[in-house]
Amino acid sequence: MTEEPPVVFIVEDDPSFRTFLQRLVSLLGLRCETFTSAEAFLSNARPDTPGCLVLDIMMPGLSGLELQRELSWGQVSLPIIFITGHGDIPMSVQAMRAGAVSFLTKPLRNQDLLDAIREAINLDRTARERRAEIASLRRHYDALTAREREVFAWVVAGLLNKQIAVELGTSERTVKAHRSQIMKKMQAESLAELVRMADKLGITPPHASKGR
Amino acid sequence: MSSPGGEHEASPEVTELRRQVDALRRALAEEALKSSESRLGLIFHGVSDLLFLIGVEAGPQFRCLAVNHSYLKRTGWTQEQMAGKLIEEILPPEQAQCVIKKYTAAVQSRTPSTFEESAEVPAGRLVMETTLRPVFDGQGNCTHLLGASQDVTERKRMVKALHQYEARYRTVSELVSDYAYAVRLEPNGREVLEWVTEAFSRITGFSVQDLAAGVGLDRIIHPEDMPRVCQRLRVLLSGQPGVSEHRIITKSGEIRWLRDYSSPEWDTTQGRVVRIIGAGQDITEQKRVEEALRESEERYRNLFENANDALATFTLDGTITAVNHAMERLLGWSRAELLGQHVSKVATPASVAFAAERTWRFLIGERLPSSTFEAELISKDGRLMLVEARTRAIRNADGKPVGFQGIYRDVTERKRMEEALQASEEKYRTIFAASPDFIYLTDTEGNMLDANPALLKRAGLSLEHLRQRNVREFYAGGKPEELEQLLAELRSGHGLKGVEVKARSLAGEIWDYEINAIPLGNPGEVFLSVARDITERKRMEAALRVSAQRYRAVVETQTELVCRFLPDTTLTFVNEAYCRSFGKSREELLGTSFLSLIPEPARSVVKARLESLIAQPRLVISEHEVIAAGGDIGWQQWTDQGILDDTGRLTEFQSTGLDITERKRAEEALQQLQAELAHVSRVSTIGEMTASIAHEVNQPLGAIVGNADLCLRWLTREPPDLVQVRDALCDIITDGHRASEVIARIRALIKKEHSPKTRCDMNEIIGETIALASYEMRRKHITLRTELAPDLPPVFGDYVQLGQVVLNLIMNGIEAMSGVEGRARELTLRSGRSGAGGVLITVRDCGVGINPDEVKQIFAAFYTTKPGGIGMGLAICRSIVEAHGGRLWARPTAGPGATFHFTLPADSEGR
Repeated sequence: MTEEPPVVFIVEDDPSFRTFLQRLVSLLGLRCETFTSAEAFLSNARPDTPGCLVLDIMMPGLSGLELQRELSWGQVSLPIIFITGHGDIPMSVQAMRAGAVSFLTKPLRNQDLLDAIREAINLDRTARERRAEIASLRRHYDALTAREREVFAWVVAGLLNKQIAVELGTSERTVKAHRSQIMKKMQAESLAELVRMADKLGITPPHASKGR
Repeated sequence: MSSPGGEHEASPEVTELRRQVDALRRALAEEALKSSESRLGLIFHGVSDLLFLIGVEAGPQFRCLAVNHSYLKRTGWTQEQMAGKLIEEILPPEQAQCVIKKYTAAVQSRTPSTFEESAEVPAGRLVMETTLRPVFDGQGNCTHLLGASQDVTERKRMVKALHQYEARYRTVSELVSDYAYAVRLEPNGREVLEWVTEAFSRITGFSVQDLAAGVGLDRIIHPEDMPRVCQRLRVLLSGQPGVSEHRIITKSGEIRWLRDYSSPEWDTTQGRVVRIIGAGQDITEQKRVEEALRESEERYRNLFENANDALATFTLDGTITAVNHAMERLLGWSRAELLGQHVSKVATPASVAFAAERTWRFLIGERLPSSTFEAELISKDGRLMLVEARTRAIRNADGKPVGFQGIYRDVTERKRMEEALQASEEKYRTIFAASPDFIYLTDTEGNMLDANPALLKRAGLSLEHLRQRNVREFYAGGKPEELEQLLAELRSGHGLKGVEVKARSLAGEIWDYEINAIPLGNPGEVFLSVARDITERKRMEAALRVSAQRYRAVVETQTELVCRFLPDTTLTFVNEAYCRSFGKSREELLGTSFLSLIPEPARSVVKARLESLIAQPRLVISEHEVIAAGGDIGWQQWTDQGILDDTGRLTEFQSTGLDITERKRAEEALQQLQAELAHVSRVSTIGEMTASIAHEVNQPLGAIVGNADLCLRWLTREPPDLVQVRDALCDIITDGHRASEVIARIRALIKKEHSPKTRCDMNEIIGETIALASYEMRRKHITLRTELAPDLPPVFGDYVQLGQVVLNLIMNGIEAMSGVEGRARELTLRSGRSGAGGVLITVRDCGVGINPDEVKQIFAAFYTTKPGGIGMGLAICRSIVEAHGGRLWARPTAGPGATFHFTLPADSEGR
């Protein structure tokens, strides 16, 4: 997994401020892509690199907040730094709740923005790493047979092989075999690791039907 | 004219007077004689005096002893009745007593006494002057009384007459001023005035002394008459008497006429005239009378000759003795042809006979009923003429009629008139019967005599019943004395004209009448009255009065100014209100240009308007400033209309004006108020836009601050990145300007002062407003579409206020779309030309739209749908647009939203 150089996306309708933002980002030595509207940003294919979005909150057409919503719906995880000419509290609350990294008011201190960009990129990088781990776990999980996934759920729920056999109406021995297969396929060293994986994958243990 | 001889022949009176005077003198002489005779003169019985002898007896008693014949004759007593009888036996007791008393006194006094006595004697009443002389015997006893009585009855009468004549003579001589003189002619030729009467001095003014001192004839005689007087003298000296009339100049210079009779006294021994005796009189007055008479006769002749009436004189038998010119003209005969001719030559036999009969009746002393009669005359050409003749007798000196003088007037024309009159009378009858006016006759007391059918109908009476009534019973005027006065007026012979009275019909209805009335016949016989029902007219008059008053009230309070002026602005007519308005008299205004009444800045506009009117005559209403009375600047509204002549050329303007100063002031105040309200509204709008504005300002500020910070970083590098610094600084400058522009825009919008109206490009205003509202639109995610016409005509107005209208409509649109989800929030701004050649601006949103019921309400003040709005925005917009002469209205948009339109008139050159 090779680390791509991070990119800063700028969506700002005011040309003057856009130019300024460009200049500032290049000061960090980061790649920078500018868009004049939210729509333009959305319609553009985004390189799979870590990065952040510097977004003017007031724009004709889709506003910054609306773009934020669009992105979250599209499962796009990109840290957003909002910039506003005249921020008001409800707007900033809404933005932060929706996961904005930072909310800056014009005129801003350059350093604040630079810090915000750096932080956002780090955030994104971390997020990206997490997303990559989950994706590998998912691949392993996808390799399990249906019976193995059943057993997997009961295992991470903390049931003994014998109990699982009862639940599944099979023998303890069979359960044991599935269990070792699961461990192998998931590349898990221990039950504890397997439970962590299940947690990352969001597998919730099934309800024990009887014997409780 | 009296004859000179008549004056000197003694008049009968004078002759008689002289005779009496002589008799008197004789009688006196005889008496004197008798008194000097002895007491028993022989002539006792012979004298005419009444003598009597009384014997004085003891007692004393007086016995009449003797009376003479004269006595008996005069008294009528007989010898027997007197002689030997005592006085008491002769006379009645009282008379006797009286006589005895006198006789006793005479005896006692022993001297003669004279007394007057009157006595009743058989011959009648006698007045006697009696002288009693006592006669004494040798012893000195009074034995007898001798009485001598004179019958003074006659003398008394004569004395009285004499006194009268003397008085008369004195008067006459004073008046007549006769004078007399005598001049002696000396052998040497000298004339010596022997004597002259006082009268001469009185007439001439020269006294006897003056004449004696040598005032000669040459001084007295009028120079013009001197030759005549000298001629007279020569005749006189030849021994011939004569008369002359000549003028003299009196001492005081007055001219008088004298008639002088003089006769020479011839001395045969000397063979020459030795004396001239003359007498004369002042005939100045007579001359004057003569002259007056002459003039009078002349006048009479002139009058006779030149009278318009034809005049002629006739003898009693009808021979024409004189005619005048008018007569000649009337008859066509000449004077020569008429004189001496009989009247039958010119009159019809009937007229001649009638005239003859009149003459006869006149001569026998009958009084003719009238001096005027009608006669028919025949002119020379045979035309028959009707004349009115008026004749008078001509009398001679004895008063005996000797002829006639006639005045003839052609009445042919008058006759025709009379006939016409008769016809007119018939007409009167017709009118009487048919007239709707009420005609009636009354006697002098107002008793009804006759009335026409109209009156009877109105009165509700038959003629018979009406005749029993008096006008007073119909009078309803409330002032009976008024009616009495009218009747009195008629009685005095005056007509009534247009007298208005109220009268009552039998049914009690009261009507107004106008009465015209005249007395007919001999004054005060009968009154003819015509009454016209003027009730309706009165009502109309009353209505008219009210109307007139109303009209007058309108006219008097009329404030409209009226004037007429020539195309070069010279005033030809101004009304009272016009004069008042400018505080100038009509004389001051007429003939001058009214431009001097307009302040300099407004003149060119007025001139331009008139020029356009001359080029294209029409009715134009305009408003402009004027210099009103007292020099104040006022406003007037004028309606100018050109007056064209027959050829269609404009000759004059007729204008009516109104003083609209107050209105203008109110308008200005309103404008001021509206401007303030607009300002408040703008400020409020700005308030609503605070966020946008902050953004608009922060945008460039943010860039500036950021770029500046970058610059610092670049400069602190080693080496500094100057290229980057320069670029950033350029941007900083641009953004600085941008920020200041935003500030300026806002300042312009919220500044309070009233900006002057200028020529504005609506597209520019829209652009500026969009710039201001752009962030608001961004903020509300509104897409703006503009469709601005490139060839938009300019408008004339307040830049800020027009911008405010656009901003308000944009903000309204933004507001309307703020709640819209699920469709495009699009605001469209469009500019273009309006139908009338002005500008049409459209602002269209696709918001909530307008309920059609609310289309009208939305422009009302305080109408709002916004929780925080004051509801003035649209109301202010409309008042601004209308103040600019435009219109603002709203329509629901086809599809969602609403559309606002407003128009503005294009800025014209003339304005």
